[in-house]
Parts: sequence; C-alpha cells; structure tokens
Amino acid sequence: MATVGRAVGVAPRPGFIEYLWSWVTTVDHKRIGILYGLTTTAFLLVGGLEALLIRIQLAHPESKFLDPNTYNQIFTMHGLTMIFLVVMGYNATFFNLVVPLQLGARDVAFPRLNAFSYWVFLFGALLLNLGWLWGQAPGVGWFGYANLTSVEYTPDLGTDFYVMGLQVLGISSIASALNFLVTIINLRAPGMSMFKMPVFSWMTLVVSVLVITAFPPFTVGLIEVMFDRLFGTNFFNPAAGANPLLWQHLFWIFGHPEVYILVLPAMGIVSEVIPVFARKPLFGYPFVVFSGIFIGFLGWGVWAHHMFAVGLGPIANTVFGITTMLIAVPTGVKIFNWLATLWGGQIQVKTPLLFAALGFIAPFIIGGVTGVMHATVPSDYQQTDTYFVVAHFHYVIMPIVAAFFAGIYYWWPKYTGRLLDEGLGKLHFWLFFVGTNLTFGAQVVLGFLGMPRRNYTYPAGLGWEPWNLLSSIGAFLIALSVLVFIVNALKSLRSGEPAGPDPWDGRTLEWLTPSPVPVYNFAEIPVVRYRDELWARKYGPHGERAAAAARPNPDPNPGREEVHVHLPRPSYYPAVAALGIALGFFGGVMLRPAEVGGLGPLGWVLVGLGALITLAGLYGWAFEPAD
Amino acid sequence: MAAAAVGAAGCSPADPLNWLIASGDAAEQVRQLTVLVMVLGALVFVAVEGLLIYALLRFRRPAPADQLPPQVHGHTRLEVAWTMVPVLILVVIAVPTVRTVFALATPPDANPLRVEVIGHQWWWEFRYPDIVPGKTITTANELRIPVGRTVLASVTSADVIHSFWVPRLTGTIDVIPGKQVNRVWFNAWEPGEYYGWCKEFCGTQHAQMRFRVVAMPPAEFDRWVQARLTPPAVPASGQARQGYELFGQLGCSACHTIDGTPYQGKVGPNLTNIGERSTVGAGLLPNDPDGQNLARWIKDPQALKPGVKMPTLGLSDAQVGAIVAYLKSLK
Repeated sequence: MATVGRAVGVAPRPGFIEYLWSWVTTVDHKRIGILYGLTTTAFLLVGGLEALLIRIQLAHPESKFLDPNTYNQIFTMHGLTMIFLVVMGYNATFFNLVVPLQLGARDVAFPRLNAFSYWVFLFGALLLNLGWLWGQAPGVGWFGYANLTSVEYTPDLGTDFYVMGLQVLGISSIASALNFLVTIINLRAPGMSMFKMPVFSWMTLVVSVLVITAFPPFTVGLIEVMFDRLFGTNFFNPAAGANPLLWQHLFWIFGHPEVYILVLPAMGIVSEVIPVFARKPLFGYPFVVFSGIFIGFLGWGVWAHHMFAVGLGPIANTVFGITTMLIAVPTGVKIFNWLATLWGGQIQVKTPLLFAALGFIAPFIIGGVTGVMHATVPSDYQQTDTYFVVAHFHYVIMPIVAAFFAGIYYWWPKYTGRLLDEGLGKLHFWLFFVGTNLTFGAQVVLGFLGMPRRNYTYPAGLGWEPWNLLSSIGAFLIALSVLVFIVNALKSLRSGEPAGPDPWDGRTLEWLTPSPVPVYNFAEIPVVRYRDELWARKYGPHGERAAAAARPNPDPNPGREEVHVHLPRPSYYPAVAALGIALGFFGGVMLRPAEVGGLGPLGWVLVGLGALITLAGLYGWAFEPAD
Repeated sequence: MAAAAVGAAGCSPADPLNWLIASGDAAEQVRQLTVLVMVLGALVFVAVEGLLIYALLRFRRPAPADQLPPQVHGHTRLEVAWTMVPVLILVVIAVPTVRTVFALATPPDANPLRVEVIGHQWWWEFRYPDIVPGKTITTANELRIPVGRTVLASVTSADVIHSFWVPRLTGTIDVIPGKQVNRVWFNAWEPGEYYGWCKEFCGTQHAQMRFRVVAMPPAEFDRWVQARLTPPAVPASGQARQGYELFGQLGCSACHTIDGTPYQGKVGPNLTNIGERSTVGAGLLPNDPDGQNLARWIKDPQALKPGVKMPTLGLSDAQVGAIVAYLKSLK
C-alpha cells in the first residue's frame, strides 16, 4: 500500500464540503433534477410510513394503536405528502432531468430560477412537516374544508402549518411551471416544430399551463384562511354570514386541475416508454397530444363533481356530471392509442415496460371506470366519502407512481451511466402490482359495504374486518416493493452494468448524449427533421435501414475534452432567497398566540427577518453577472 | 373478484351500510342506476384489459437487429371509432343519470313528514317542527319515522360541515353551517333500524358521529308522537329521584334538556327520551336494558370517545347508578 504514491500534477480533488457546496449552488437542470428526485424519494418513504400507520390502525376494528387526533394528522399528512411532495416532486424531477434533453437544449430557460424552485420546494416541504415537532401537524384533511379550519375549531398550529406550507410550495410550483413553459416554447432544437416534440415534453407544457392557472385560486383561498386565522376576518365564518362552501369552490377549482397536473406527466412517460419497448412509433401521436390538451382543458369544467352532495341543485350537478363523464373520452383515446402502439410490435418485456403497461395502463382502467361511476351523480351521493372514493383515486395515483417507476428504470442509466438490475426490477414490479391491487381492490369492496373514509376507528360486525386486513397486508407488500427498489438503486450505483448512451434503442434526443450526460448536454445542438429523430438517424425515417442493420451508435461528442460550451455560473442566491421565504412564512405560523405554541406578535420578527433574507437573496441574484 | 365478494356480502344482514341493498325508494333509484353503470363498467374493464393482456402476450417477441415491426403511425378511422364508442356508452349512462338526479331533487309526496336535522360536533339533533300544530318534538341521535311515508329532512349545522347519510334509505347530503339549508327525502319500506353515519370530516370524533333511523308502523309512530308530546313524569322517590336531583346538582343540566323539568341546557343532546333510544354516545354503544353502557358512558365519556365535548366528571359509582336509573326511566 505504501508504495502507492500520491498523484501529483493533476488538479486537486475537491473536498467533501466543496462537493456539497457545488450541489447547493448548482444551476444545472440535471443536478437539480437529481436533488428533486432524492428529496421526493425521501418524502415517498415518509408518506409511505404514514400509509402503513393508517393501515396498522385500520387492520382491526376498535384499534387503540393511534388516538383520533394523531390518526387525523397522519391521514392528512399522508395526503399532503403524497400529492404535493411526492407526485409533484417526481413531476419536477422528470421535467428537469428529461425535458431539456428531449428538446435538444443545454438547460432550462432560467437556470437560477430553476434552482430557486427546488430550494423553495425543499423548504416548503419541511415547513409543511414542521408541525410534527409541536405534535401539531395539519389534521384537517388535505382538502382543509372551512370552517373546520377556523381558530374556533382547530386552535392548534397544525392548520397554520397547512396554510403557510402550501403557500410556499405554490411559489415553487408556479416558478417552475413558468420556467418550463418558456423553455418548451423557446429552447427547442432547430427543426423541432411543436408536432415533432416528444409527448412527455408536450405533457410538461400542458401541466405548466395548468399549474400557472390552477394555483392562484388556491392561493387566494389560503390567504383568506390565513386572514381569518391571524387577523380575525370572516371569509369563512358562518356566524358573520359567510358560506363556507366558498372554500370548496376555490379549493376544487385548483384541486381538480391538480389531478391532471398529477396524471398528465405520467401519461407522458408511458407515451415515451411504450413505443421504445414495442419498437414502433407512438400510434396516433396527434390524438395522444390533443387528448392530453383536451383533458387539461376539461379539467377546468369539472371541479364541482367533488361537491355533488353539498346541495348545488340538480342543474349544476347534471352539468358537472356530464362534463366529468366527457373526461373518459380523451382518456380512452390515450389508452387505445397505447394499445395500438403495442399491437404488432416487437414487445421487449423489460421493467420499464412492465411498469408502464401493467403498472400504469391496467389499473388506470379501473381508475377510469370507477371515475365514471362517480360521475353518475346519484351513485356518487352514496359513494362519496366512502372507501370507494379512496379506492378510485388510488387506482389513479398508484398508476402514476408506477409510471414514475417506469420512468426511473428507463432514464436512470442516462444520468448514472449504469442500468438497474432487471431481476430486482421485476421483483419490485410484481410486489408493487400485487400489493396495489390487494390494498385497493379490498377498498373497492369496503366502499360497496359502506365504510366511510377518514374514520380513525370502526366497530366490529359490519362485514369490514376481512377486507381491512387484506388491504393492510397489501400495503406492506407495496412497502416491501419500495425497499427492493432502494436495494436495486444502491446496487446499481455500486456495481450496475454500464449502460452506454442508448441502452434501450431509444427514439428521442436524450439517448443521443453520452451516459451520464455531460454538463453541457449536447456538444453541438442537434438539428431535428423527424418526430423520432434518433430513431430516424439510426434506422432511416421509415425504418428502411434496418435490413442493412445500419445502426450507427452516434456519439455526438467525439473528443469530448475539447468541448467549450458557455454555461451559467453556479449561484447560492436562489437558495438564500428560498430560505428567506420559508422563514417568513414560518414567522406567519408563529404569529399564533403563545398558549398554542406560537410567539404571538414576536412572530413579526421572524416574518421581517425572512423578508430581509429574501430581499438580500434577490438583490444578490439580480446583480450577479450574467455569465 | 370484487363484484363477486360484494354479491356474497350482500346476502348477509350484517352489513347495514351496504348501499347496494335498498330499503326505500330513494336508495332503490340509486341502486338501479348504479347496477347499470357497474355492468357497463365491468364490460369495458374486461374488454380493455383483455386487449392489453392479449397484445402483451401475442406481440412479446425478440427484436432482431435487422428487422423492425411495421412502423405504423396511426389510423384515422380507428381513432374515430374509439372516440365514438365511449361517447355512446356514456350517453347510455348519462340519460338515466340526469333523470335520477331530477327525481331525487323533488320529494314524490306533496305532504311529506318534515323533520329538521342539525349536525353538532359529534352528535345529531332531530326535530319535528309543528308535528301537531304549535308543538315541536326534539330528540337526538335517533330519528323515528313511519314506514311508507315520505320524509323530507332539512339539514343544517350548528358548528362545522357534517354530512347526513343513511345508505339503505338515501344518499348523502351535506350539513352546512350558516344560511344554506339542504333538503333530502327518503322513505323506508319496512320497519327496522337503519344506520346513519356522518360522512364529512368534522374533527376529532368524526368517526363516531353516528345515528339510527328507526322506521315504525304508522300507528305505532303516531302513538310515539303522542307520548312524546307529554313530558315524562318526574320520579317522586327512590334511586331515580336521587338521579333526577343529581342531574341538576352535578351540572348535567347545563348542557342537556329534559322536557318537563327545569333542565334546559342546549349544548348537548336533548335527553327527554334517552331511555327508549337504541344507542348511547351517538351510535357508539347499544343502550342495553340494564343501563350498563349508559353507566360506562356517564362515568368516563373521554375514555370511550376521546375528545367528545362531554367531560369526564369523576362521578362515584353510586352517583352514576342514580343518574342511570333516572335516565332509563325517561321513555
């Protein structure tokens, strides 16, 4: 050992601190994507643990495992975590990792704003969860219906963490959506017209528009609740003449587009994975794109289907029932086009395809059929707030999670340079698949048996016991599948098979770059002539070069060392500004009186400090040199 | 699997919240519509899953380097077909849906039995306004109705949003504080006890805000109404008399009303007919004839229903026994 000398004459290896600092100051979309991915996976474990606690409590009737308030906090935080931190987090992960590469761009339009979005997301997520330290996490449901959210009925800090944490997360989502909107419109490679753009990027565009338009009404509602709680206004106080249903309208006109914000990127991933593993182009590309746009558009006209039982009257209920049924049409179009893509292909049954076809499409059909049952308004009068609803939306969201796993197995080699193990991947898939259907299949039955949701306990003798036990067993299978995935990921990082630039025989531009992707993405920006540009370069635009087995594996960066690409410099100002925002909103929570754990008027000190730090961050950012 | 399981469970009398079993006209209309949609949904499910699994098995094959599958980009007529077929299926669902929405919006009887439902954290108040001119009956957690008669419930809340649901009789209607009064109608075909449950998350004890609807033969219902119009007698002696006095001395009367006594608290449930109700604690425990559950409840409500507004007063067994004897006499 002693004979091994120290390397001399090369640049000094950066220390651990410098390495960490490089992640704090990074403005590289790939590194930001990895930060999002790590944060989101951590919260997946948190939200999953919350799910397991729920299922332990409900495995048996009259369980004393959790007290009612703890249970209410856990089911609330499970929903908030999974929706705002996990699904939205993975969306941001994939937008960052994939979209610039698919477009043939070097980065997003505003790299520092992108870093800012991530740091606001991280700090907002922590703020939302901070209430656990007081034993007062939000406990009003992810929907936080007024007037339960008034200080009279929830005097604890939980609702304040809800109101403040979600405002912070909204800032992150909107900043990120603006960034991707501008990126997709302006930074596409030369020749990539909108209808040559990959479907995942298309869905990112639709989702960005939805985020920009859906979050403001929600933010308005949150600000109103904040004013009611902190400053004694009466937006939702029935005693002062308000109708608390106002909140439900504001919430669901955000909340239903939010459902499509969650699902459209997953549909985009499926639309990327299926053609590659069927070795055929996506069937009916314009129909898949337009049905995605149409779903986003219809998403605006269906919010009151969450409110069929609030007494809007038969005319409103009829209208919203029919618009909701219409959503089934473009959704069906997508499913049939995926089936037609598989039809007649050379299907390669690899883990990404399993997750996309059997993990997404198969259970999503159940989510769709049960969705139409909810659109049948009178049936919804019975089904609403039973486990039938819980089963329905988990049959939408678990397919979304499956699509994320499809995306992870598919794109992982691009960013790590190594493949994930196929054997562990298939084990992961089948555990996930069986676990999901056991958990939520049992909940379909519980729905018919009339078990209401958001109940911390239930009596014996109503026929619910066996189904609850099955559902809980399924939840542990899902947890096990996630553990298998983590083992797979660690194994791949240590000793995974090297992937090469194009391990799946891909079709889109990201597979043109080396794996892992160099910081500048493309040494030379590609010129696009075809929808499946890389495929056309390999096989000819109509596959005519296949017979000659002419498969050049294009390395776009011969002589990588000589590439000199101008890239924006790292900056810590976005992280500073983000920290200030979260601190200021935390000060807002602390404005609550000392009896409930706040600081009272002293909270203004924190608000002011947060504002100052934000301003300092923005000032430094604004006056940084452009390069 | 799921449908078969529900079918099997449907035969069991042990699932009083199974809404696929109707015990009244309103629930029956919903049930018929739901069965139609379930059948169509099952057909769509089998067809599409079948296509998916067939495609995955049939076209699972090696990918020779020199041979690609036909690079098909689309087919317009197919697109039209799989757009229009779902539209037609939806029309088949939408027409009866709209018809049922409107049918459920108006009570089928011009002179229904009117009741008022008031949700409280975490119990139910039921009132029969002007059931005989000028007289109103107030009760709690148990709504008695005559078999066959249409009941029109006007629902409001005293605090936060709740939701009124008696699955065997009617779907959900939200219970909203403030000016909005929602209405829902239902009837019961047969005498019996039907389970009701708060469905909208309303705070700590949302899970245990239950009630019963008791359908009685009309003559029996009329006798019950007449009995309710006369307050129960104040016990003159014995343990029940002791309980009557303790009810005032210990402060129970600050929250509870008992008709025909000075006890007129309005915060908690009216207890005038607690002796005949089938449950204790808003559907929590059976109101057994010996009063054991009632005694457990009065002794320590916070242990049975943590967070309930009724405090655990630390009463002695003798005090509890006396109060139970008094309350059990209230029929």
